Amino acid sequence: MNADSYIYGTSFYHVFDPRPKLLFTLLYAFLSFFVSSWYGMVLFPLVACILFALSLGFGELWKGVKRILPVVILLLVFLPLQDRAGIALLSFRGFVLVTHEGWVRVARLISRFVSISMVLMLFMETVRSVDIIKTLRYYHLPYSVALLFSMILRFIPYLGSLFEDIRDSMSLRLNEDRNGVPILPSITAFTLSAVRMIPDTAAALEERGFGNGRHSDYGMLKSYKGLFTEFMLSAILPIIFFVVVR
Amino acid sequence: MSEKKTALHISLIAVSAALVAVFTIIIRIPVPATAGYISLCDAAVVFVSYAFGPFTGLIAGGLGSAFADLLGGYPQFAVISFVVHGLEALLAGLIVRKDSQGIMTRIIGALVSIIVVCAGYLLLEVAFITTFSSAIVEVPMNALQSGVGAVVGLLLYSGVRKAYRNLDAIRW
Amino acid sequence: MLNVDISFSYGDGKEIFNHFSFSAGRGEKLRIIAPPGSGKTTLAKILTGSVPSYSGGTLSGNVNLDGNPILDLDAAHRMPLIGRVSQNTDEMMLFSSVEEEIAFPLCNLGLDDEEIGRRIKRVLSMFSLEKLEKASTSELSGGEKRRLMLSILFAVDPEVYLLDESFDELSPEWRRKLSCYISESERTFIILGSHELEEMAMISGPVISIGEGRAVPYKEETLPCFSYSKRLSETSLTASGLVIRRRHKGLPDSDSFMLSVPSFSIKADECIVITGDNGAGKSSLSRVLCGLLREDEGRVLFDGRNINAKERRKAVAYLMQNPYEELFLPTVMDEAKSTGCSKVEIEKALSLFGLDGNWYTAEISYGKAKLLQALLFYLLNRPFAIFDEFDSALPYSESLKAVRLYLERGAGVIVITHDMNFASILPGRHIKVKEGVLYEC
Repeated sequence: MNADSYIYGTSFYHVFDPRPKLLFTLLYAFLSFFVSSWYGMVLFPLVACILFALSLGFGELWKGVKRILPVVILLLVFLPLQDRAGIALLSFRGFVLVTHEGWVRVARLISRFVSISMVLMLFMETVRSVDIIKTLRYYHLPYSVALLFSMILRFIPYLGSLFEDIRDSMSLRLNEDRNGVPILPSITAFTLSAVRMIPDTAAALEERGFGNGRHSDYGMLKSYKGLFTEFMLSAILPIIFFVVVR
Repeated sequence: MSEKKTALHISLIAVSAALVAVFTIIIRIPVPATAGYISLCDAAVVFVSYAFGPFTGLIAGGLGSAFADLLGGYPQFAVISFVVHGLEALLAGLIVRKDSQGIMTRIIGALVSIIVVCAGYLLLEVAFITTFSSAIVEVPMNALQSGVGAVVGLLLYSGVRKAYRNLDAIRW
Repeated sequence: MLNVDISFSYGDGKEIFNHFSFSAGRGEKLRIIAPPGSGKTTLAKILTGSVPSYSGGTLSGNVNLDGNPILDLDAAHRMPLIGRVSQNTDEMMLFSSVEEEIAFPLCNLGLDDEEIGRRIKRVLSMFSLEKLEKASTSELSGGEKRRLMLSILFAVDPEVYLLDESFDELSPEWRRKLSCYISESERTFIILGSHELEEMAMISGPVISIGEGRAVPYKEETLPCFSYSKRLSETSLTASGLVIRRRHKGLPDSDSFMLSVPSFSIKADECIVITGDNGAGKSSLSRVLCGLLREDEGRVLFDGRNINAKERRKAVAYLMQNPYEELFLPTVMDEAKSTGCSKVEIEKALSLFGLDGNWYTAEISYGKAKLLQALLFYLLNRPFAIFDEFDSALPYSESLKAVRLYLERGAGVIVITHDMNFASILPGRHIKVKEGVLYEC
């Protein structure tokens, strides 16, 4: 198990500095809430998907789409229940199936959901976890919170493999007549080992000098020529796009 | 706050949040009736808030489920999960205090967990993602999942407390 | 000059040290060789400051480094003076990448970017970890984790280095290299271990031991003789044409690992010793034999019959490297009862392995945990058993006792070890894993 959704690549979106990329991602997601034209409702998710395919390929795009498909299908299935009092758009033997208002509302929700999902997934899959934390540090995330996040990223895969080991070794110790691993004892044992790590971890933090009153930063993201331009483009491009298709 | 306490709090939250995330991602019980799975994430959330208090629960429960969403490929749900599970932990921890042993408190605690999870997802999803009619479909599954979670979380708490005598010393 | 004179007992009244005192001159390399449970890890934690602040208990006495009292400082301020490598490497791993792990204490020293970068580069090359700088700590092997922990200590470079069973999980080659680094260093070293290793011979300096909470002179452990009368057994476990592949996520496919086992066979009540470098695949082979890992090719036969994973789990006991991973229940007695054995059998086994049913599993030392692990599979009485680096953290006599008990019960035993001394006393065939192939010596 790996605590990183990063997928290796060399595309332009991979090399795009994570700091302006985060700005771009959040702005794109935010603007997708205000799109109301049919053009916009199609183009916003479409551009996000194209960006996704260009950076990670169609295979990954399909994987991402599969993850959001259940929500989209559910929205479509329940479309007939939406805004029953509106103008009929589709009816069957006199029974109104879809109203105009219902269709507009659902289409807008789907467009927004797909845009947000794709652009956020794209960010998570093109930036390493370590760099996401450095990016947040750049945006003034407090040191202790960044430290906490780094540690969570260490413990997720560690505890994941610990659970698998515990389940394995439990299966070795079953009596002759038993099959399968009992759930409650294995999660109790697992939780117990996790809890036991807490004081050891605190001790480790202190033995590594945490809280001695000084600390310097290492490997922070640095400014460079052109970073400002990247920031500007990340802000201007989505806004222009929005204004045009809105 | 002294520095020594800070080190302990950071470790406590980091390990608890990771515990919640692992319960969410890996530990699943099959439900034969639906041929699907339910995750035990609520069990970990409830355990953390019983064992370490409502505020550790709030932060660790919220962060843990948000990290699970972020890393598991569902970043769009991270904020909603953070709010819902954080609130679930906070309320569960406030209702069931360490010294209250009554069965009624525990039932109320479990019911509150179920209500928070069902209502939380319903309201927040309707507000940002989906329509009311399609969000209500998820309610029975959420209720089942959080109900099982609340019971398992309680069993987990009593089991761990029996085996680890220093548990209360870590509590915040 | 380091002067230590301490008394310590845990909250439950168990006395660990009673005026335990020793001193080490600047640059001296002192070895403390003592059996498991005698307090080596507790000593290391007292000196670095995690005990008693995180464990409870009463500590009295004093520790002076060049005349300055250490015990008054909190752990964070002791870092530049005294640091340790813990026995359990996972216990001190805090971050998801190797680079962050080494950089963290250096940042806390207040060093500048350039100096931190230089130190990281230096220790990575000392311990051959350059390729892993950006790797995730969750993908490291046991030996790599050990080297990472050592490299952190060497990067911080405190006045006094404490190495708690740090030769564990290192291959003979790395053990020699570490001994070299230690003898070349001008710093003071305190090396804690369960037994003298061949590779430590080049480190010169005094050796002491711990007895009843006090410092006592070290008596060289005589290598015990090991003989047992072999009964001819018909039960056999055979592997033929096995191929095991494992791919590292995040590393190119060319670095993936492969082990092939053309043929391997063991009879019940036979002892076989397997040696080989870290990451050679000894643990993977064990996991295949006991049904925890699926082989890519080949067969595993029990009495000439193909057996599936589920049957293998009931036929082969696997004593994993880290004993805590196999212990789940509150007390030693709860663990023993889970095997379904009768009270009489349990009592007898407890006395054979020198364990007490009332102990809490969460509180026993690493060495005792290994003995408990051995006791459990002894009670389960599987026809075959694999001891994966069982001898680390235990004196030879204890590890041999466990192996003997299994053999006398008629089990076939496979012993995996890095310790050549230990390997040389064991009877039976010796098998080596080299360059991905398992063959008889």
